[in-house]
This record gives sequence, C-alpha cells and structure tokens, in this order.
Amino acid sequence: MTASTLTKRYIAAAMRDLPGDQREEFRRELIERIADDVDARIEAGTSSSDAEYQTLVELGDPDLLVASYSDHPQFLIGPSLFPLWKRLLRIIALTVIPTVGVAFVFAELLAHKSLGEIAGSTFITLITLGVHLGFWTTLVFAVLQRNLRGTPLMQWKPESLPELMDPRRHEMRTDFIAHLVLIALLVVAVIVLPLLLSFRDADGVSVPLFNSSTWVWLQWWLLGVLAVDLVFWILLARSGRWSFGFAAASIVPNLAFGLPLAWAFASDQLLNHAFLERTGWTDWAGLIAPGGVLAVLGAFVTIGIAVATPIDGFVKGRRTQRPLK
Amino acid sequence: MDMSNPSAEEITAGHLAELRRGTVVLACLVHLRQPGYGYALLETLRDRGMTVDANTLYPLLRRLAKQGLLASKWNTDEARPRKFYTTSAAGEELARTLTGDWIRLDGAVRDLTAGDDGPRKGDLL
Repeated sequence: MTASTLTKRYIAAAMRDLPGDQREEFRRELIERIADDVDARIEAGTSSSDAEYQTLVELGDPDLLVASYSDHPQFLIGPSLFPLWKRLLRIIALTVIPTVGVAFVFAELLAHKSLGEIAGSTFITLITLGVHLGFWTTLVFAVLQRNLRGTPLMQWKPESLPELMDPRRHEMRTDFIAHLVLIALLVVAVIVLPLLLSFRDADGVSVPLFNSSTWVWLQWWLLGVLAVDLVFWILLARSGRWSFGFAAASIVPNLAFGLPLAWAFASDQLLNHAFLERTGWTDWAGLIAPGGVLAVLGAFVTIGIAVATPIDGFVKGRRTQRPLK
Repeated sequence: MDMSNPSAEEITAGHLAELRRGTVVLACLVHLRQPGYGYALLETLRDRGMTVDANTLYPLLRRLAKQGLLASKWNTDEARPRKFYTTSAAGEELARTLTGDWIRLDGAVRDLTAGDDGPRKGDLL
C-alpha cells in the first residue's frame, strides 16, 4: 500500500515537534502501525478509504499520540508540587496584591489624580500584577516539575506535623497575632498617613489631609488608645481565653478609638477642606458634611468596626463557659 | 457527563483497567520470547481475551525497548518493513519475577476466597 495523502499529512503532523534524531524511527513505526491497521480493516470488509479514515480517527490527535509515546509528563504541575504551588499562590494573592494595591492608591493620591482615575488605574494595575504573579510562579513550578521528575521539593518528616493544641488556644494565638499586626498597622497609619497625604501649596505651606486643629490632639489620643489596646491583648493572650470580663473590657479601647474618629468625621472636623479642594474631591464635600450620606455611613462603619471585637469576645467568652468535647 | 460522580459501570471499568495494567507487560515479555511485531501481538493478546488498546500497546513496546527489556530490529525481508521485538535477558529476568509474583498473588486471592461464603465471624467483631 502506498501511503495516501491523508496518512502522509498525519505522519507529517505527528513528527512536527519531534527532535531530528527520533523522526525517522518514529516515522517508520507509524507507517507500519497505520498500514497494519488499515489492512486488517480492509480484510474485515471495509473499503480502503474508509479503513484509512477509521484508522486515523482511532489514532487520534497526532500531538496527543506523540505525547503518549514520550516519557515527558503531560501535566504542568504534578501532585508532588501542587500543594506547595497552591499554598504559595494563595499567600501571594493575600499579601502582595493588597499591599501593592494600598501602596498604589497612596501613590496615586499623592499625584492628585481624581478618584475615578485612581479606581480605574488601580484595578488595571492589580489585574496585571495578579496575572504576572500567577504566570511567573506557575512557570517556575512547571520548570521545577520537569527537572525534579516528581521528587518532592521538601522532604516531609513526621516532625513537621503541627503540634496538637487546644483549638481555643490556637484560635487565641491567631487572634493575638492578627491584632498585633493590626495595632502595628494602625500606629504606622496614624503617624505616616498625614505625612504621606499632604502636599505643599503654591506658597510652600504644607496642606495636610486632616484638619490640623482636630488632628493635633486626635493623633495623640489614638496612639494612646492603641497602647492601651496592646496591653489589653497581651493580658488576654496570657490568660489564654476570652471571658465576659475581657469582652466587656475590650469595649473600652475599641470605643475610645472609634468614637472620636466617627464623631470627628460625622461633624466634618476630621478632613481638611483645603486638601479636598486640591484633590478634586469637592463634589464629595456635601456628602461628608455633617448629616451627609458619607458622613453618616463613615460614622456607622467606624462604630461597627469598633464593636466587632467586643462582640467576637462575648461569643468566644460564651463558648469557653461550655466544657470542651 | 458528570465527572465527579462516575456510574457503577465506570467505577468497575476503572478498577478492572487498573488490575490489568501490569499484566500487559508480563504478557508482552512472555510472548515476545519469540520475535513479534506490534499488530501481531495485538491480535494474539486479543485472541486470548486480553484486549489491549493499540494506543496503549505501541507506546508500551517502545518504552520496554527503551528500558532494555525488549530488543528491537527492523525486518525488511517483506514488502512492508516491520519492527520486531524480542525479550532481552533483562526482560526475561523481569518476566520470571513478574510470573512468580503473579502465581503468588493468584494463590493469595484463592486462599482469601476459598470456602468464603459471606462474612466470617471475625469480620463481625
């Protein structure tokens, strides 16, 4: 049988991506395989053109056929690397993207862009960043997969199992660390935010974001409250569990932080009007004026955040009243 | 088709395929003590009730040759050149090991099922 056009096309397509030294051998094997199969079908009573067509259909996509002959894995990231890849991507998504997002918004605010522009460019930047992070991380793992050939990157040992811990203690530790980070972030925010978010007007006078006459006392008040909050959390972590006493006590620093902020915001004494005018946020002036939609909303959000921790504390405190199963 | 919820037939087919996977290697090594080529081997196995997919057998022959378990040689005596495979010394050794294990497993399964009409007393405890 002389190979027909269809068979020739199939063989050419299959050999396209093969290294030169393997081509001739594979071509001969494939010709043998196709011819034997076609002959068997003709012998069984199929017409020769149908037989060829059916044979090629059974062989399937030439790229897949070549892959089934080769030893290369047909997946990007195999089971040995998949968990690490997934964990790393999640960590990156939860840390890098928000951090860059916040930093980017700050930078754009400093450049005095309008809010619409900032929202648009932040969205595009974060999407681009996410695609890049996902792509490059995956590429590194795909290269590792091909070179490690299924050997795990890190040797797992029984010692690496997490310690058994009272779930409440574990929860407390997570809460404690989260609040330490939160307190640190708030301290940085109180100190750095007004410095970052200010600009010099034509006369070289600094125009801060916050209303100076309010901020001059409010910043010291907030820092003081954060210090009290820090002491509270250290005491709580040492005790190891929430109680009604702790939950009740936690109301104090939280309200002390939230209430003045909410009050200053709602009564339009927090933000500096000169700053708002300069940044083109003047449309917002009405909304954040006393009784304005944003002012009320902002006040509610601030108070909501302030009462979240005490409520959480009461819930967890109630749970500790019940014995562990 | 819902991939996450295979039917009973699909589950059975999957387990059968898994059970048979290694036996194709053993059948190839044993049968190719006499030189043979791909399609003839496919038919021989099919005639004996060991139906193997061509897309499984041809790549398998290639892999076994690469591992040195089969020796291969082109036969150009006939009009159509064919690649003939023969079990090598290493392949013969593996065939003996696999056959031994096959017999041992067969005995073990027989022991487990012999006189076994339903759950035994020990299983209920």
